[in-house]
Amino acid sequence: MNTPDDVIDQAAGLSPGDPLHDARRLRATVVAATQASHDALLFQPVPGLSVADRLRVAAHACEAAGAPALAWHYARLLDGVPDADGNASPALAAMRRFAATLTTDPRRGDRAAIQALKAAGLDDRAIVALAQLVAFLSYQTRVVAGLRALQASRGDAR
Amino acid sequence: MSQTPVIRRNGFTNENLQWISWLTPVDLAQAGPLQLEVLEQSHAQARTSPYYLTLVHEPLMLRHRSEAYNAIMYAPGGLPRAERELGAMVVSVTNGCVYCTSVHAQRFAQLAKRHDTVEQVFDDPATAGTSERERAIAQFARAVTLRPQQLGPNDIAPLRAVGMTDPEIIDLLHATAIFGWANRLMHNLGEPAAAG
Repeated sequence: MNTPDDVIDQAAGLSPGDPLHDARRLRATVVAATQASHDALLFQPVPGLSVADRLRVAAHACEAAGAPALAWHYARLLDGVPDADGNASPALAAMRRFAATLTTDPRRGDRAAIQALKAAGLDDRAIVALAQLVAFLSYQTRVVAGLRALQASRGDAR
Repeated sequence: MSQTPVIRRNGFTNENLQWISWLTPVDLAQAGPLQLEVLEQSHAQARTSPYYLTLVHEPLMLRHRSEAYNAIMYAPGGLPRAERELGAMVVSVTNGCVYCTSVHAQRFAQLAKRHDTVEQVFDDPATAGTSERERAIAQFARAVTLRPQQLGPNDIAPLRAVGMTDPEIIDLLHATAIFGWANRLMHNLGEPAAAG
């Protein structure tokens, strides 16, 4: 899978040598675990939750979050998945609904949302994987947005 | 906790709560070696926690989440840990996660050795903070939570004005962003209940 070395740097526009790129590396464990989370959440095999569907959900969630750079990243990864054109799960619509609500209004989370995923055919393991992925995206989009703000404020200062 | 009074405001509390999963947690007796190893890495009480036993359905996903979480909240140096907990508490109140709020209200009080800010955050995170620095942290945590895509230099300036360096601001960004992750799991895979 052709994934960037560090998705956060790519989406935030940070390159080696940038002061913020180096400042991030003061927390090297966080940088590595964030990228490892991305890789595991998308590509670790989960019965009933294909890589292509996870990428579809991720692109949708990032669009719902107003994060086009990350939405583009997931759409591009989807383009690299064999047979990505077909074979979406019948549960995809339910997964996208769950992802959009969880992304934009976590206060609305309730048991009925979990029941809807079960009714669409997801088992507990797939629901855990899906919820982890979507919740991670709320973290990832915020880290990217915050780093961009920090980068912009450095520009202001100069 | 023996020195801190019970604080209950606006549906939030600093009391110990339990968490009830809406899924079926992994039965510890049936857990595989990788699941046991990741539980061990994740939290001292993970083996008896319905939350961790639910997440360990996917052990590698939990492993990397825990690596990130533990490094963000506990690593030495940088932003003082009490201030990371303040960020976590403000985000948890803003996202309506009663369980996360109770845990991080306790942690803040333990680290800061006072609880006045806890009451203020429960009342209204938008105005909370006993100092200019705490107010700047609380307001940044709210902005990261409520309008991440509108973050800009105006949100960074108040942090710089109270003396924060870029590495400290990155620590605060991590501590607030990861509660966007944690709250969504706690508040959407189960619910809190009074401790039994």
